[in-house]
Amino acid sequence: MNRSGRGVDAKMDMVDSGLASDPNRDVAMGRVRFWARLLAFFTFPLIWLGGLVTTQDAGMAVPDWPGTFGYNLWLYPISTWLLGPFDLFVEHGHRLLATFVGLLAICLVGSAWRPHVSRSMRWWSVGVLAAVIGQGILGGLRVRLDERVMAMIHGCTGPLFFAMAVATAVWAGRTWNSSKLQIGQAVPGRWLWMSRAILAAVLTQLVLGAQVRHIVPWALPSQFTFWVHLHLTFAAVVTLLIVAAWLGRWSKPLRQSKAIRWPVDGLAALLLLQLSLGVGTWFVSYASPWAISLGGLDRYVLQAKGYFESWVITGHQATGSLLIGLSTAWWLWMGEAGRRSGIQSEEGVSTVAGRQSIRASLPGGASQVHGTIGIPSTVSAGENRELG
Amino acid sequence: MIGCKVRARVWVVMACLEILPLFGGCNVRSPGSFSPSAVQIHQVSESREVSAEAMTARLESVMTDWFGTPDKPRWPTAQKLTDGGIDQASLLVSLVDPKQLERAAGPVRRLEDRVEYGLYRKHCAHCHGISGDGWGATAGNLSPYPRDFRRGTFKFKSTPVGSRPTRSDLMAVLKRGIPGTSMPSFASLSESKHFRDDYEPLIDYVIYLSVRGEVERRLIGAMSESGEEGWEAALPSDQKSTAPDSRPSVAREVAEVLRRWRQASQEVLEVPDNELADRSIEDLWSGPQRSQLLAAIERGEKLFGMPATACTSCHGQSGRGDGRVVDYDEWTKDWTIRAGVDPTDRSQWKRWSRLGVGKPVPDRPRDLHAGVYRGGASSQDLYRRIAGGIDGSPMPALPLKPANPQGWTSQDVWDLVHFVRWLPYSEQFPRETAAQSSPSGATAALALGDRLSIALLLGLPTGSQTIDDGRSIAGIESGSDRPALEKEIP
Repeated sequence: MNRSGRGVDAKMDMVDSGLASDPNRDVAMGRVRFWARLLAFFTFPLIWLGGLVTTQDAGMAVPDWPGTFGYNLWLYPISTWLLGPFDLFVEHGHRLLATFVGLLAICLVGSAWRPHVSRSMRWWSVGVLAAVIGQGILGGLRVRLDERVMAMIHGCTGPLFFAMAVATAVWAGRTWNSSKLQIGQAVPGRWLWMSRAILAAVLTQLVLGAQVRHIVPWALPSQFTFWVHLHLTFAAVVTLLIVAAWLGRWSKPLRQSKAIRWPVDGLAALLLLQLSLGVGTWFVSYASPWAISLGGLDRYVLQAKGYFESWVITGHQATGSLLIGLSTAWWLWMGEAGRRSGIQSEEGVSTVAGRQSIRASLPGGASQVHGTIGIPSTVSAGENRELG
Repeated sequence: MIGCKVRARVWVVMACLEILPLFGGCNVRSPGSFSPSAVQIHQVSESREVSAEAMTARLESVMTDWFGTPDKPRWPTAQKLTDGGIDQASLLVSLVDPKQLERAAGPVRRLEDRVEYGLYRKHCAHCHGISGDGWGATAGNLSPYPRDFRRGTFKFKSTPVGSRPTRSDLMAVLKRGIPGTSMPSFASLSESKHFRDDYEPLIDYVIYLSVRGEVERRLIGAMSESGEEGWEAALPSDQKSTAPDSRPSVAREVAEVLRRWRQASQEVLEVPDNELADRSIEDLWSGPQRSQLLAAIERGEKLFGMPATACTSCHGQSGRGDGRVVDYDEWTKDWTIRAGVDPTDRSQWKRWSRLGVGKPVPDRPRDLHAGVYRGGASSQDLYRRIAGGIDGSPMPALPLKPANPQGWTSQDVWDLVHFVRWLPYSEQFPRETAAQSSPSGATAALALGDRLSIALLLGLPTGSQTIDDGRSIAGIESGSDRPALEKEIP
């Protein structure tokens, strides 16, 4: 895209994303933000519980769907649920929480389809609702068809839905709708590339991890080995990318903007946790291949479906989802920072000038645009309040 | 608008990622049928110049007729045995409960009756495989490889080498797990009233897979002796003949395998009482029985070092598992050494690995200083490991009196047990006797060893090399061709 085209898009985007000051719009976006955050907040435990379903092999603990042993999902006797077998407890609990998340998605749509909310946000919220319904249907198909492949797809789409929920919260969030992403200088293109690469790598890891986790007993050992090796390879790729990003946190522009720097710290911390959980997951699932030579480890006895083991294994999967969520947020924030502040190409050419040129053409000029691109000094203290 | 474009891109990426997992669903094997012993079939096929495909098809037909499928297992009936000319319905009594088989079989599910089914696939199949061939999806990455049930050989049990385990033995392994391996403990099942009854179906299913697999192996073995024609001719005879003849018969093979399982409970090795057995080394060391313990350790060390016991050939003089002999387990030898395949030559074994076997890995002797005992850590467990050997592994059984007049006494075994129990504490509780400072109590014990010359026991040549290598006992106990198989580390 050429500079002028990008500039026009940027102008529209600012209007679209709520930079223009409008109290009614602030209120409307506040509602969207509330439901989007709630949605993301409850989707994470839903993913955790879904992971526990796989860990406990509880996918078929309830043989029917959408009901539970013939009952309406919400009317299944609570005593039988809480005091029954653990796999039944986990699976039915997963379903209950999923319907609650579905309700939150409906509320999100309700909040988005009100005046003063951008059209793209409205349709995005519908997409979120469709995704949660689709995810529920995938879960139902896994039960009705009794197919492990469906379980694997359902397990992959879950974190993707979480990424959608996070993206919604990001778009409706204060950071997005304020001048925080306006960092006063052009964003080097390599940072945009880095944010994309990290997101792509963690998403790929999700799929590869699902292949390892959902391997069927009748698969060939060579297939399992293949997926394990690929998963390890991408673990190395993700590690390299995140470490590289973290090492660059002291360089411009990350040094100047907390809004795009803290996700890098978060990613690095999550990576450490995830690597530890990954090693732990292998160890509590299959023991150490080197147990004999590593004194002490050979005393360890694996516990089938053990409490500690389940926490480690499910934690690894859930932390992967957190990585996806944070990578998504960073990718969006970096991209937006680049759009608002200009992108520094490798040759040192900045697109800031193109950005600035649209400023004058915006309705009301700089006085109506918060943190006008590239010129933070023109924004008055009163205007610098957060809009959304 | 940029916002719309970004969101559109997100949709595209997400849609692509949702499609990706579909590619992971492709598999070669099927959960609906048992995999035949492909390596064995192909080796027979090559040696007898018969079609492997024809053998496989015929075998599958017969095995399905007798044992059903993974989703619908079938346990041989008295009627079927009688039809095959075997009038021993008692063989089937209380060995396996067909109702329990149903619970363990098929995919994991909880039906409308709220009873959970598919327990084998839930707990075991990922490693042990749908067929119990020890070659499940994860097996290639595990060390040691998961057990192949089809040989009927189980390592940790109360019965001697060559015998089948009892149900209690299988239960003990399920509950205890095997430390340092991928075999988990299922003790947590007993903590919930909902899962407490899951053990019995699992044990039934393991016995079922083992019996099924062993019958299959025996039929393939019969094939290798009689050739396709003889085998083909023999199989249908089950349906019409009532008189056993010299040809292989499915019913006869089934009966023989069942008989060995039925016998197991009568073959349990008795463990005589020993006053030091039930107390820990720490307690004994600090208590009044210290002198007794020291004496037992000293005697045990001498026995350990004797060429006749052959302990040091694998476990090494120090007991750290650094002996000279490199050996393989029986499962590996079946398709390598006994089939003329050199397990150390990749070019030879590689071609078989695609048929469901892993890279041959030498069976490493235990480092006795680690204090980790896979078959159980109690004194009684150690007694059984020494007196009964570890089936399928190079660890032989020690010949005992009175069954073997020139064998060892139970006190000898107990002395070895106490020495082995003490080894992990040898630095914490160093002995103060003169014998301990000897670099080798073993050397001093050579004379003692003469009285129980392994050569006399086995009727083998009395060459010292034969004794030193510790091959004789193992060879006679397991009936294997061990002397020809072992290699020495340069």
